[in-house]
Order: sequence, then structure tokens, then C-alpha cells
Amino acid sequence: MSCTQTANTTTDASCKSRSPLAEALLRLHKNRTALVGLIIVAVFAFLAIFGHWIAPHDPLEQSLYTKLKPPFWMPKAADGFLLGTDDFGRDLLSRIIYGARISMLVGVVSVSISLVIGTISGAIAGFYRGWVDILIMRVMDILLAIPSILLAIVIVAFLGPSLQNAMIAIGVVSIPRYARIVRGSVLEEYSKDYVQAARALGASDTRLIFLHILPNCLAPLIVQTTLGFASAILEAAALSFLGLGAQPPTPEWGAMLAGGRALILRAWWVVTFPGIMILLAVLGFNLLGDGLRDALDPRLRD
Amino acid sequence: MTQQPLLTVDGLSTYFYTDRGVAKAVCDVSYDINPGETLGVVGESGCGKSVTSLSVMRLIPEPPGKIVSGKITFDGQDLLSLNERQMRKIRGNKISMIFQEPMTSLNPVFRVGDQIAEAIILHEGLSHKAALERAVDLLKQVGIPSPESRVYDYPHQMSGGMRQRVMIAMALACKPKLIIADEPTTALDVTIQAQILELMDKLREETGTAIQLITHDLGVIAETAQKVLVMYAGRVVEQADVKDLFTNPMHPYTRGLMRSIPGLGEQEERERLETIPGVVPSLLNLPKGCRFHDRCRHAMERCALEEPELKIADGKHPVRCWLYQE
Repeated sequence: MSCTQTANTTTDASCKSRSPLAEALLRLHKNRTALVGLIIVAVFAFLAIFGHWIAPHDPLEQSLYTKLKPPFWMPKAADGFLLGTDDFGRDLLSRIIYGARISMLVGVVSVSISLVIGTISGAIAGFYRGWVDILIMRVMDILLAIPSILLAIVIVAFLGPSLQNAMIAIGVVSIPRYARIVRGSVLEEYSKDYVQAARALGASDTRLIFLHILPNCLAPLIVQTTLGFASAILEAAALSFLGLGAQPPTPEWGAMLAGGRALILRAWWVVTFPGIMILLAVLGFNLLGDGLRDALDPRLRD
Repeated sequence: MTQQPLLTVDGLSTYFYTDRGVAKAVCDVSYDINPGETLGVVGESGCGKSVTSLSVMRLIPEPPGKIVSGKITFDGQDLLSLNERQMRKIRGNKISMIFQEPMTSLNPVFRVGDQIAEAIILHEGLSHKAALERAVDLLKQVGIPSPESRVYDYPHQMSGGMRQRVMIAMALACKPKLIIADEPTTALDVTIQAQILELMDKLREETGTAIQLITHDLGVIAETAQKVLVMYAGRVVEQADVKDLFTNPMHPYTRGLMRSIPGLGEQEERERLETIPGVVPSLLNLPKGCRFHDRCRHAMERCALEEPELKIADGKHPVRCWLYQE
């Protein structure tokens, strides 16, 4: 940024104290695809938070009279059911809107689980090295060696199928990704002079790790978190599709796909709309994650 | 000079146990610093200057490093017997450090004001607001213009000289009794070097802080130090008051260092600049006898066989050389 170079000589108030985060946001703003991703994510977040005001119907309300009505532009469409209804006569639009809430919840909970555990264990491994590092990282390697969906199925099989357990399973499965990223960044930051300087000022180990080193490792972590949302949503849909996640009648996208699977030739809309939602949500988070990667990577700064 | 020394280092030895053997980075080093005094520590790279100061701070990474023997007394306290927690209360509070590289010694993601305030909050329990006010005062004290707005700057918005001033402000934050400055001017250009040294000297006079100044630049020593410790390959080879050292350098290594400084004197005084041949020996594989003998122009047969003691020669100051010993 031009103001970085001139800040020494000028006292331009506008760029005086721009935080690294603000600078990253500014760069993100210039990236069109990332902006599209941000908008999609924002829309989904909005649906998740205000869904109960937007949805025209109760997502669980059944009615045999309005069973399998097509979307509004097709003949025989029923009034008030914009995207049609499923085989129980439930409003599809309302169901996918409520589904956004569930998918976002899955994303937040499972990413939080893996983020917190992964970050702490990765930071400890990178900071203390030695046998602690070996122990933590070999456990992570073992977790990584098993295909994630298989591992999630195993965990759900242990805990019993429910949305809550699916979230735990997805969270546990992606811990190693965060641990490895954080360990790598901490190893790199550890050798820098400011760590020694902070130690010489009397900072304790915990203070060093969480206050001094981790804030410097945030960039790759933010990217991984965003991308992690996408894969969490996808995995939750997969588990629900297999009947191991959300149980009927919960309006979860994956479960909706599973429920409408038999009707795909008679009533394509029952599976298409939840499928499109999954696609859009994952796409949105991936675009945003890629954009953030570019925005936060210091090597790509102009 | 009858007062109690602030810091006494007695027979300090710090070794590093590496895969390739034991590196004796510091061997049997003793010195003391009085309150308000500047001690200069000189030597080439790899002479154990930095390891000595890190040992005093107890910041030697363990393993591979270990303080194998010696006693460090600071302000009546035996530093080597303190636990990590007690040691943390001393670091940054009673003893603080200034590092060589101002460009990398500040945390890039925090405002400089917050970094200065951190030590104050940590050691004196002040509120963030009060600590930040103190940070402004400190920035003013170290000569940073418009400190009220500069506290909100990030390190990348400052030049190297400014950052070193910030580092000094951080070191001063809790009014320490001793500041260890590890080559504070090496990374700066010459005009800024002079400013920083002047600033440190001024602050020393104002606050009565003692300074242990580590450098490889004898010019810096001549300007700021009262006492000098010349180190070579982990050993103290000469120890003297600054006047004594410059009027009467005794150890061939000290003399070599002095001859390798370019002079600005009269034409006839100006000679061809000399270098000391060779390099500092590897600490893993130290030569037998005097550690300097293979680079020494006065080396005798005896130098390769036995290592001399640090002894007062000519009734002046201690030197580790056979030239002055029977």
C-alpha cells in the first residue's frame, strides 16, 4: 500500500493507524470473485438468522391436499408455494430457508470444535517441540490417515445418529488440518526476534503463545476456517443423506435430498432446490476463502 | 568504588550440547557492573557476548543450552536459584534488553503503544489507559516527535531508528536497574547510531540505570563505556577501564581489534588498515592452549601447549596472555 511507504515522512491521518485487518479487508474488496463469495455467505447468514420471519410457511406443516405441487412457473402450481411442495405437502421454500439455519449451525459448531482444539494443540506442539510435538502430531497423522467421512461415520456410529453428534464428528475429523497449519506458523514465528524480545520483557509461555505468536498466525487460520465451513456443510449434508445426521422431519438439506431421492423423476424440484442450496453455500465459502487467502498473503501484496 | 556492585557474574560457563559435540560458548566469565555504570563487552561474532547476556536473563534455550557453572548475583539476589516465575518478574522489570534488529524485534501486529504498555501492565498492574499514557511519556523521553499520535502506529509505519527508540522506550518502561543492549546500533546507519548512543547515555545519566553494552565496535565502546570486557572464543581475554584499555591495550587480540579500526588522524598517523588473520575457532573444536594462538602474531611455543590465566599484569588490569606472565 502506498501509505505504508510514505507513513514515515508524511503524517497523513487517514492512513496513520490502519490495522493489518483493515488493510486485508481493503484488498478483499478489490477481488471480484471474493466479493461474490462474501455476498453469498452474507445472504446465507441472513437467512439463517432471520429465516423464521422470511419463510412463508412452517417447514414442518404437512398437508395432503398440497402434496408434490410444482414450482410457481409450472402448470398446476399451487398458490403460496413458490418452490412447490414435497411428498408430505410441506413448503420447499420454507424448508430450504430453515435448512440454511441448520447448515450454518453445523458450520459454526463443527468449525469451532476443530478450530479451538486444533489451534491449541498445534500451538503447543509448535511452541514446545520435542516429545510433546511428536505425540500431538502423530495423533493428528493417525486422524488424517483415515478418510474423513469414514471416520465421521465411525464416530456417529459410536454416539448414535443425530445432528448434534454429526457436528461433533465433523469437528473432530477436521482437527488435524488446523493443528498442522498452526504448528507450521508457530514454528516459523517462534524463531523471530519479537518473541525473544517479549520473553525478555517478562512474558510467560501462555502469554507468548496466545498473545504474541498466535495473532501472527491468523492469516492462514482465517482462510482455513472459511474453507472449513464449506467442507463442514458438505460433510453434514453427506452424513444426513446417509441417515447419520439430521433425522426427519428436520429440514436439513442433505436429509431432504435423501427423502426426495425416490421422487427424482416424478418431482425433480424436491431434490433440486436443496442440492442447489448446498452448492451455493459451499461455493460461497470457497470463493470467500480463496479471496481471503489472496488478501492475507503478504507475498501477494502490491 | 566501594559500593555494592549491581550485577556480579562469577565464573559463568554456558555450554550448548549439540549433536556434533559440546559447544563451550561461555567459559568461566566473571565481571561486575556498578549502578549507573556502562560496561562494554567487545569481541568478534561468535565470541560468546550474546550468550553471556542471555545467561544473565536466563533466556538460554534449554536444551540444548545449559548454564553449567557460575553464580549471577543481581541486586543481592542469586538469579540462578530463582524459578521461572520469579525470573519473569525480573525480566523487563529490573533487567531489560534491547535487541540488535529493531526491524524484527517488534511484534508486527500490535501498535507500538500497546507493546510498550504491555510490560507496564504486566509488572506494575496499571490499567491499559494509564499504561498508554506512560507509553506516550516514554516515547517523548526517547525523542520521538508527536508521541501522542505515534503510540497508535504499527511497527511497519516506522523507520529503523524510530523502532530502535521504541525498543529503548520498552526497555525503560519499568525503570529497570540494568539494561542489556545487544548490539543496539549494528543494524542502523551511522548518523542514527550516534543518536541512539547519545540517547542511551543521556537516559543512563537521567535514570541511573546501568548498561551492559554488547558490541563489536570499539568506537562505540570508547564513546559510551566506563569499563570494558574483551571476549574471545567464550573467554574474557582482557578486562580494563576504558581509559586504560585505549592507552595501554595489552592482549594481542585487543591490539588487533584496535588496529583494524580506520582512523581519521593526521597523514603520518594514518597507516594501512590491518586485519586479524583467520577466524574465531569453532566452539566445538577449540584449539589446545591459548585460544587465540593460531591467529596471534606474538605466539610462542608455550601458547600452543598451555592456556594462560586471567592475571593482572604490570599492576594495571587483568589480561589472559603469556606475554605478561612468567
